[in-house]
Formats: sequence, C-alpha cells, structure tokens
Amino acid sequence: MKKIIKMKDVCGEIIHTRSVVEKFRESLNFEDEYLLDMEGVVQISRSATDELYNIMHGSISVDVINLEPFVAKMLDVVTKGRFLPRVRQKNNVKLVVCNDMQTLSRELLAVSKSAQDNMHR
Amino acid sequence: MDFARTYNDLFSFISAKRLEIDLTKKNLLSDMLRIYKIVNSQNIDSKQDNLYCFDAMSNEKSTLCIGQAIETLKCQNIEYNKLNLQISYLLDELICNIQQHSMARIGLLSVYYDANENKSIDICIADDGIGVFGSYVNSSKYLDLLENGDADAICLAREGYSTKNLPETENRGYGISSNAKWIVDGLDGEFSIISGKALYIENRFGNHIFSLPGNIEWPGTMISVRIPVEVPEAFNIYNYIS
Repeated sequence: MKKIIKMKDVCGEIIHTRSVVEKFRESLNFEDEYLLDMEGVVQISRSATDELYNIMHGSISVDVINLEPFVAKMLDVVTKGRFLPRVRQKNNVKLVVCNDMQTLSRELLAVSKSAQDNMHR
Repeated sequence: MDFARTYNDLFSFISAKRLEIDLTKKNLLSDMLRIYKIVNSQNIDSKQDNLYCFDAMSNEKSTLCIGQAIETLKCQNIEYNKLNLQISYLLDELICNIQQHSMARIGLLSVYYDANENKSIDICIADDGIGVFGSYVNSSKYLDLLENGDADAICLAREGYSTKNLPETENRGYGISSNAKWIVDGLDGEFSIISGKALYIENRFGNHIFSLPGNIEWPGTMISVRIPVEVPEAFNIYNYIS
C-alpha cells in the first residue's frame, strides 16, 4: 500500500529551494511506495521542481497527485527541459581589462552613455 | 531610465558606502560577519534599510529571508502583485544557487523599490562564498574555457553551464541564465554580476564584462538587478524560462 504524504505539511505552501526537496528525499525509504499529495503547495521554484522530478523518476516508487496550477506548470517546464535540447544564447562579450579605477570609470561611463544615446534614437 | 544610476548604485554598494564595508581592506568576511551579527542580535527576522542577512546554508533562514523581502516589496509597491511570480522565481533560484554552489556562510539580500525616478525594483543578492570561478574550479568542470578566470566563469554561468548537471541531461544552470533573460529581454531591465575580480553588466543595449582593478573585488558572488515595474501585457515569464 502506498504511503500518502501531504507535501504541504512537510515542505510548506511555497517550496523555495532545491535543498528542501533534497532533504525530503532523504526521508524516503527504498522499500516503500509513496503518493505525494501536492494539494495546498501553491508555489514551487524551478530548482525544487527539478529535484521533485528526480524523485518521481528515480529508484523509489513515487506518484504525485493534486498539483496546483502553478506547480503543474513548473513541472511541465522542467519535464520539457529534460527532453528538449538546451538552447543557449552565446555570450559573445569581449573582456575589457581595467587596470585602474580611472579606466573602469571611463568604461562604465561609455556603457552608460551608449545606453542613453540608444534610448534617445 | 537612468542606466548610469545602476552602476553608481552598484559601486556605492561595492565601495560600501551603503553597507560600510571597505573592500579595499580585504576584510569583507569580517565586515559581513559584523553585519550578520548586528542583524542577528535583533533576531534574524529583523532588517536594516531593507537589507537582510541570512545563514546561507540554512533552509529555514533562507526561506524566512525570501519571505521577508517579498513582504517588504509588497508593502512598498502597490504594483508588486504584477511581479510576484517573477520576483519569487528570481529570489528562489539565486538563493538556491548560494546553497548549492557557493559554499558561503552568509547571504545578503537587499530589496528597494524606486517609486520616483526609475519606477523599478532593485534587488541585490550577495554571498561570501567561493565565487563563480571557484565553483567551476571546485567541480573541475569547463576549466579549459576559463582562461580569463572570473570573467570567463561569469560568462559561462550566464550561458547556463552548470557544474551539477545529471550525466544524461542538462537539467541545471537556469538560475542566472533564465533570470537574466526575463529581466533584460522581457522587461527591459538590467542584470549585473560581480564575482571575484570581474564585473558583468547586461541590458538591452548589450553585454559587457570588465576585469576590476587593483584590490577591488567581491570574494563571493553578488548579483544586482533592476526590474522595471511596468510589465507589458504580452510578457509571460514562461517564454523565458522554458
């Protein structure tokens, strides 16, 4: 028989960080089967969801029920991320070496001025 | 929007006019500890000028800190509800990064709503950990891409390269990359990182990376963002985090 765990009671209404779910995972037994009732967990971070996904697809038998809309959406985002290729935006930025504060100030001023000029165009 | 002010804010933060930390003395940790103790002495849930300090490795204290910062913004800004989801995403992921990668003892979080000049929310999250470069070195990953030390490490993190991906999937590395995307591309805000001796600045006009001179450095990681409170109707954070 599956053990039902009310996640709201264990992790709270909002699960902010991955560590919270990692800690929860440590409390699970490999021999048992679990049903995680997510009712009342209204918000969860992407990292925590990623860790939840790891639990759901790991070596322990775990099912998840009663996902609130936000949590379901985040789980959907994470699930898609596992299967779709990662699209990266190449950061083609050139390093500007500032050996003194004057150079740094000048460079920052140029960045600032450039931004302002662009805004006025 | 006055972009220059962000940099001024950032540098007054670094040069510690706001926090009374003198980084040039290279005694950041002791100063951070001092701030931590001041806040702690008034209970961890107290605050000073919207600055929160927390035990970086404590889930409870990190969570408490996130909650307090959000409450502060809610009180300051009647338009906050439009950004509730986005700012929670930002705080959750970046504080999670501190816990997972920084080996920091202390985290700092400051939130500020500029109701007049910029109509923006400024958030700064800092730690006293090993920095972005240190995190890559610790994991022995991507070392061949880190010729320029801190600067390359920041750029790599911005591109979403994580030290902790699972072997068969790139499930991590979204904390910095996705937050920069929704803030800059989605809301026309600004995103800056200082880690070690490098400073990264990103806004809709471009990305810039600088090596910092002399003895100016932040031994851990500090991320500073400016988020405009005017949210376009079409803006949807899921378009930027997927």
